Amino acid sequence: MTVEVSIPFLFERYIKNKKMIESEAGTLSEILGSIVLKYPGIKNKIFSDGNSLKSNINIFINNKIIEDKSNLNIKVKDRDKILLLVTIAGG
Amino acid sequence: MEFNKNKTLDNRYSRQVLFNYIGQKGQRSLSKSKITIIGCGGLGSVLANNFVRAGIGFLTIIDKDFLELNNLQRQMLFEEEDIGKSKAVLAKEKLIKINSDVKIEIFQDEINNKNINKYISNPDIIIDGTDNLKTRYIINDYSLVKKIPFIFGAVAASYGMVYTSIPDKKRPCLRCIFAENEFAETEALTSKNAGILNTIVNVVASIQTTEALKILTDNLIFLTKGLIYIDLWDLSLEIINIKKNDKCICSK
Repeated sequence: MTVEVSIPFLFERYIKNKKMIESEAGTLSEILGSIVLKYPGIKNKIFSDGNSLKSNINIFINNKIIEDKSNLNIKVKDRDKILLLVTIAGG
Repeated sequence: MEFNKNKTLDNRYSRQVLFNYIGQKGQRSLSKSKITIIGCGGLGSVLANNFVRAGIGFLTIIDKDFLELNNLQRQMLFEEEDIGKSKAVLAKEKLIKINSDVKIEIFQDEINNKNINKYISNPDIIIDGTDNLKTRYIINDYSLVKKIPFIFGAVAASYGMVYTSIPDKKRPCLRCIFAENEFAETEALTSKNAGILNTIVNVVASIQTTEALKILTDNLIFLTKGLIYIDLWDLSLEIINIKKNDKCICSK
């Protein structure tokens, strides 16, 4: 029972230059928690001080956006794909 | 040598006309096209240069800023002697010298919900040259209402994103990619907090231009369907097929 988590480009250095990480299925909160445990360097890149997702992190399950990032208790099913996308706004 | 416009017009676009997917027909379409660029900084100045050289018919540029020294590293239309002057005014002066056939209209202002209708007069495409999320949401929502394609572009550090939003029932809009929240603006990556390579500005603006050329020359089947995400330092490119959000305003 695994899910795929990808974090294109920006944070690959914190996950040993991997394009994608596999994790046990569970809630979003559990999955992100297990990634932070395995790759502690990424914690302050995706979470703010209060352990909520940073506002510049967009999270998608199977390429569909999760609008309410304050609720990470969403169940992620086996073989689902999670994507974390950092907002870029410069021009 | 004196420039004789009448003698050189056919020759002017000859290399572009030779390109298989443009041809004479595509070039004629370009010469009638109307483009609006919102923001004339890094992306906007490259975009304007590209479109004017490609021979579009009508260009509107909207920008309220004045040129600063730190802009010269990446804002390709401008020079040292231009510092302190209006970017919109400067852009028009320089672009007319590049191609005097293009009709250019400028507005020295910042787009908001109240004035967007006044400044955008039914263009074929709206192109993003802005540097903030707030203006992009305003443009996105306007493009949905008016059913005008909107080509989003953004850059920071060596990273860039491009997304072509065509208002229809299938394709997601910008809000399906970046949901609006009150703090996103301050934490989003920009040249102010992450620095910027001038090369990524050129790459992203050139991809935006190419996407627009596909629309203007009726080559819609070649439009990139997903969000283009680039790291130029690593020379990596991904196309992410974000799905439409059923709860988004673009789904209503």
